[in-house]
Parts: sequence; structure tokens; C-alpha cells
Amino acid sequence: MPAALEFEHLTKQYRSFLRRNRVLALDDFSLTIERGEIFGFLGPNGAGKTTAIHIAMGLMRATRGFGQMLGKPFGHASTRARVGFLAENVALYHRSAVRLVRFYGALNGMRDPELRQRTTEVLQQLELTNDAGRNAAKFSRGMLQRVGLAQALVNDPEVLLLDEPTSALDPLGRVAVREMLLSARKAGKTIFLSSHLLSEIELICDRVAILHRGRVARLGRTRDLLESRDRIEVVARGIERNAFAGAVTEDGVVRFEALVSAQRATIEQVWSLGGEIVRLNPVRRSLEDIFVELADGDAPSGGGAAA
Amino acid sequence: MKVLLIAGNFVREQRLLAILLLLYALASALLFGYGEARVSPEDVSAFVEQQSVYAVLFSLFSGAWAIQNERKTRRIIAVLSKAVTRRQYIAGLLAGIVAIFLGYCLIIGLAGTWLMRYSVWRPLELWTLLGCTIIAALLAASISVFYSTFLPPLMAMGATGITLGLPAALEQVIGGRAAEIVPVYVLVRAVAKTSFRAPRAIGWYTIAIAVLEILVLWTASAWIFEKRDVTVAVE
Repeated sequence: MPAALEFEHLTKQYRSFLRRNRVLALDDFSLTIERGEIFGFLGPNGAGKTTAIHIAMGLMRATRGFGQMLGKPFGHASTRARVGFLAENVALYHRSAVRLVRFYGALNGMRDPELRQRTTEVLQQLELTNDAGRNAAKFSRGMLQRVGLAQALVNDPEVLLLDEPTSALDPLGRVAVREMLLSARKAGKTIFLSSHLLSEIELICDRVAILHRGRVARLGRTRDLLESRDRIEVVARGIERNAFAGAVTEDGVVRFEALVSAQRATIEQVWSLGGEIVRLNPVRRSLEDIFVELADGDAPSGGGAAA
Repeated sequence: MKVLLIAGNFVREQRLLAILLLLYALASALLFGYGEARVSPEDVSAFVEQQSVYAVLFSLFSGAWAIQNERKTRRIIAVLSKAVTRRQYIAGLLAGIVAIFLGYCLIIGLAGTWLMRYSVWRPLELWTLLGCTIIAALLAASISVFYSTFLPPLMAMGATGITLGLPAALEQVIGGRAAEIVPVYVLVRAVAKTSFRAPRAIGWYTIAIAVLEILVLWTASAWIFEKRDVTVAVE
């Protein structure tokens, strides 16, 4: 079975109308998204995330390189009937939510009664039933985003590409979308999720890629990326805080970091001081830490290979 | 079906322009015919001529801005991220423009028929001229849509103006049938020069050339548009 999404050595260079200005948005970008996973796609502004997604959806053409979606080249129209897409900053026509969802469903080749049934289902799922008849022009940004999600889900897609799907939602809305994405994964769907809400990515994504200056700077399982391979956190009791550099006392225990290579020596040192080890864990960083390190130009150590 | 959906959507988005056009045509007809016991065929002819020129100008304008408006509002993203080819999209836009001008010409036709109600002349000639107007408007829209796939709207309008005017100018300079190369001018001239007392014949080949050019331009527009990025590039 072909991968859900495959970007192979994609390069995208934007040129102005008279070709005076050139900006390299993607630089030999390669990435494969397997079926059935929730994949987090991160990167600072201007890293090339939206460009990559738009190329996958056939809205843009790569300057060089190749890509496939569900085994067909990017831009293959009938393959898009099996895909749901929500763009960043949803822009929809000014008409009722129910008409909008039906319009986009029909563009994917859906017909009644299936279209009617799916429209009702997604509007219910996104808690839009009571507002289904209202003109979307009068909706708040959060509600517009829900309509955007509804149009992406109406065709019951195998692959969902979501560009900042929860940026305008309130915390309850975010939880609802998160649960919806998790249940979609259970149903075997693939979700490609671009977001700046790093905590959300940490919570639901199986794998994560961090894009930086058009290239994949970090790629791996979320857990592996967050856990440092070369540093451990030691929690001990019965020792003085000043016995180890950078140690802090919390709730009667001393907490400090040590190198994995010095793990045995550290444990023996704690014992020799008359203390005991309470816990040893790999140092856990947040995606935010990795993000900041990348933005500062420092490659974070450990946690997955750079592509 | 998708083409019709896009066309319907275009008409809905342009409804203000469409309503204004229809109201304008109606108001013009009423002004023309009000209080007149008999309106001469020459008056009806002048009315149709005037409306035909407006139809072509409006179609040129609509065509040049159709894609740009959708790109600017970013609404094109949700449409083209569905199972819609660029060929279907362009066809939908052109069908939408035609639908608006069909409505417009229908109003002109009905108004003209009403104006000629006391005349001994039959309105068949009038509807033939309106058919010419629709073909001329569709060809002008096809040309402007074609240019708008790779030029900004104002430049597309300029290029369309040159494309429409150059063959006519050539004919004036070198004679022959140069204006038939892009027969919008020929069709509009046929409408303009027609008198219901002495109908001017329009050669079938003129219509055939126009229809063929519409098909070629639609294919070429789709082919070029297929290669264009529809989302924002660096300016």
C-alpha cells in the first residue's frame, strides 16, 4: 500500500512577477507520511510548511522534485476526493454553513442522499447544527474554522491535511477537535497536522517533523524527540543540594541533571554520600525548547535524525 | 456537474453586478419605450447595439478579474483543493459569465420584442443579433480569462483590448478580412450596422471561427492555469 504522502527532494522557489526577487521556500525537502498516523508538521514562520502542504494539494507546483499522495502524483484531481484539506486562515463564500458544506462536498463528487447525511453528521460533530442556517459571513473566526473543518471532513477523507486547524478555537473547541482527530486515527485515517500549538502536537502526534529554512531539521517519533538521549534527570534523597552542580531541592528530594555517559558514576556518588536514588529519567524537553534552539541556530542534541 | 456548480457559484458571487446589469437593461428599455406609441425599428436597433457593446465590455472586465478575485479572497484554495481540475474551474468561470450575459441578453431580447410590439417586423432578427452578442461576449471573456491566467487583471484587460482591436485596425489598414481573425469586432459591428429594415447577414464561418477560438482559448487557459500557483507568491 503506498504511503499517504511522499515528498521527494522537493524544491520550491518563489519568484516575483518580473523575477527580480527569489525566495527559496523548500530546499530539497523529503518526507514520508505513513498511513494511519497523526503527523505533526512544525516550523517557525516562513519555514515552508504551508508551501509543502499547498504543493501536496496541487495548489502550487514544485520548482524541482516529485511527490505523491495516496500513490498518485500531487495535483491528481480525483485523488483529492479522498483527501480533506483545511487551509490556514479559512476563506469561505458568504452563505449558510449547511450550503457551504454541501457545495464543497458536491465538488468532491458527492451526491444526495450520502451528501445530505454526511453534511448533517459533520455539522453535528462540530457543534454547528444550531447555526447551520446562518450566513458564514456573520460567524466568528472560531466558528468559521469549524465550518472549514466541516468542509474538510464531509467526504469522509482517508487523509486529512490540516493547516493550523485549532488556531481560532477556544479551549473546549480544541479539546473537541483533538478528540475528533484521535478517533479519526482509530478509524485508520491519516492526519497531517501543521500547528504552532506545540502542546497539542505533543499530545496527539505519533511522529513529528520540524521544518527549518525549507528543510527537515528534526524528524522522529514525538516521544523520542522530546526525550534527550545524552542527559538524564536524577532524583535522589538523603544528600545535600550543593553536592551536585545545578541541583535543586523540591519536596524533600534533590533533583539534578547528569550525562548518560556518567550515569553509573553519578549513582555511585549519590550512594557514597549516603543518599538513595528515587528516580532516573531521560531529560524531557518540550517541543518549544527544540523550536527555540532551532530558531537560534543551535541544533538540539539527540531525539531523532535530521533528514 | 462540477462545472455547473462553479458556474452557479460565480453567478451568485457576481449577483450584484448581474442584478445591476439586468436592472439597467430593463430601465433603458422602459425609458426608450415609455410614452411612445410606436418605437421605430431604428430605435430598437440602436438600443440593442448599445447594450451589445456594454455586454462585450462587461464580459471582458468580468473575465479579467474572475480568477484574481478568487485568489485575492483566498476562496480559490477551498475550491481547488477538491476533486476539481483546472480545466473544470476555467470552464465553470466561463459558464458563469455566459449565464450572466444570457440573462442580460434575455432581458434585452424581451425588452426589444416589447419595444417592437407595434412594428410589422418580426423579432427573430433581434434574437439572432442577441445570439451574436452572446458569442462576442463569450469570446471576449475567453480572451480576458486566457490573459488573466498569467497576467495581472489590468494588464489582462489591456492585452484583451489590443487582441480585440488589432485585427479590426489591420482590416482598416490593409483591407481584406483581417477582422475575422478575432471576430468580436465583426460580430459587434454586425449588431451595430443591422437595421431591421435591411438585416445584415452574418456569415456562418464568423460564428464558427468564434466558437473554435472559444474552445482553443479555454484549452489554452486551462493548460497555462494548470502550471500556475494559485496561492500567494512573493511580490
